[in-house]
Amino acid sequence: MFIRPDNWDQMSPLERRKARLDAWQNAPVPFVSPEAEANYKVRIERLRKIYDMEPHDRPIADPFMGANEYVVRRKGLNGKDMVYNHEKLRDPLLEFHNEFQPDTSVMPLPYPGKVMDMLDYKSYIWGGQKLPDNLTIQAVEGEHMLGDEYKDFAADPTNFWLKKYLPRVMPALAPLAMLTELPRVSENVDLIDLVVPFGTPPFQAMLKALMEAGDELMKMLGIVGQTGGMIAASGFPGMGLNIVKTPFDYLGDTLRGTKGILMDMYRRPNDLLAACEAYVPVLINAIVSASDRNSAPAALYVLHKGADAFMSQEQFEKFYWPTWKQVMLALYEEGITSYLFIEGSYNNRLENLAEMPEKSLVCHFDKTDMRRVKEVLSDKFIIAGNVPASLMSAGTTDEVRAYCADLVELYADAPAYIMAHGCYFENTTDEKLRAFMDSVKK
Amino acid sequence: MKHTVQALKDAGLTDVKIMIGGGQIDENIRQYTGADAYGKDAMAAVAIAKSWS
Repeated sequence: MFIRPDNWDQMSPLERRKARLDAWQNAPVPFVSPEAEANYKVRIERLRKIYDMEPHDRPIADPFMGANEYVVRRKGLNGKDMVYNHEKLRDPLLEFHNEFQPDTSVMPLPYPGKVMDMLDYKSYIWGGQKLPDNLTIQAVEGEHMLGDEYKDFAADPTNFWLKKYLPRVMPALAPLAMLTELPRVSENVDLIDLVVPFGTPPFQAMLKALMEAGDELMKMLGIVGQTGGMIAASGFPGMGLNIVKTPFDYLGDTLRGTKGILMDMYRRPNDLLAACEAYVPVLINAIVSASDRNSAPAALYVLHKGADAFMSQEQFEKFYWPTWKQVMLALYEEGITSYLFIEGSYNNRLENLAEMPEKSLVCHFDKTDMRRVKEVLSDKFIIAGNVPASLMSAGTTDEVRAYCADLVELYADAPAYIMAHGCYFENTTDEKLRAFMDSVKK
Repeated sequence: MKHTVQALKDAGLTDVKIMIGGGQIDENIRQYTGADAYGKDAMAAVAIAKSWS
């Protein structure tokens, strides 16, 4: 929980940013040994200097956005294990950290397999369910908002999410549609409308299913939390991120699907723009609340449909960028750094990113030209990337070493650089991962 | 992908050309899988296919 200082209202955006980073950096950790504590402090101090774009001894190598599954696959675990068997991940993860001594902690994402089963979740398929056991998770796009429902969404995004979207992707939650419109509950007799669904068998069955799913989730979070805590206690800090998306990507990935949203740019441009704009205040509130709740100093955007290959620059500047920029500027005002995980290439968008204030962004690239990135963005923002997944999977160790060495040289005089992968991969070798991690230590 | 390409070759489909694609596909992966070509995006894939016809 992040507690705002008393003088929050008088603080500048960068002072607020400092307060959030201080809270993250100084969070108490019950270290396993004085050595672990010393190592943790060196690592988090280096990471902090990078966030602050201040001089530091060397770049860090962050394997999270690439090797976060390999770190357990190397010990024979598979996708199904990552979705269902979280207790099996603990020993391989502790072993990996002990053996490789990474600059930051790295774990698979905590996919709640049993909970997804219990709620009959339709937005993904996963290992041990409809995917083979060796695979982890696969998004399944659907049209969860019809084209003529844009106006309903724009009128009240939260209501749409609660009563239309959730029932469509989790049939177990269908009774949510019975809820009354909450903003009109104000007088005593309105309690009838508010409470009546809770007295009906379908709604009560849903509540029971949710409570059972909640019990399962708590078990899983206990295991994952314990593992994460042991990794931190052994000396490895985390980056401190909440996963979010842009207004356009929530609409495109989640509600309309790729085909739907790309056609909407031509067929329903005004509806689409109105929905993106309606999203802005809702999203700002959601991200700030999450950052306050778990003290993460940065919001991690996984960026999809604004990439060079999905839309023209004109479309990007009309549909994608303006509302996203509004959200990021509001987060900047609140002291929250936007960490952009830029999937695909953003060669045409670098000048747009450059409009943002200094230190407001961490820009993590995949296929983008890192030389142009250096020229256009590296004085203002923290830069991360972009060792290709193809190289980690199918390249040689020497090729990985050469690619990383080139990046280290290119960014040698940049204020803040993080060696990172461009995309996650399932398979590599310990030798290639070591070459990646050692590249920043010379 | 590598297995699929090999299975097509094993089945004797030697006169069939194989093109692969997807966000993370590049020359490294083309060589690894044994495919004949990769398309950087859908438009590039169409141009390659036309050059084969």
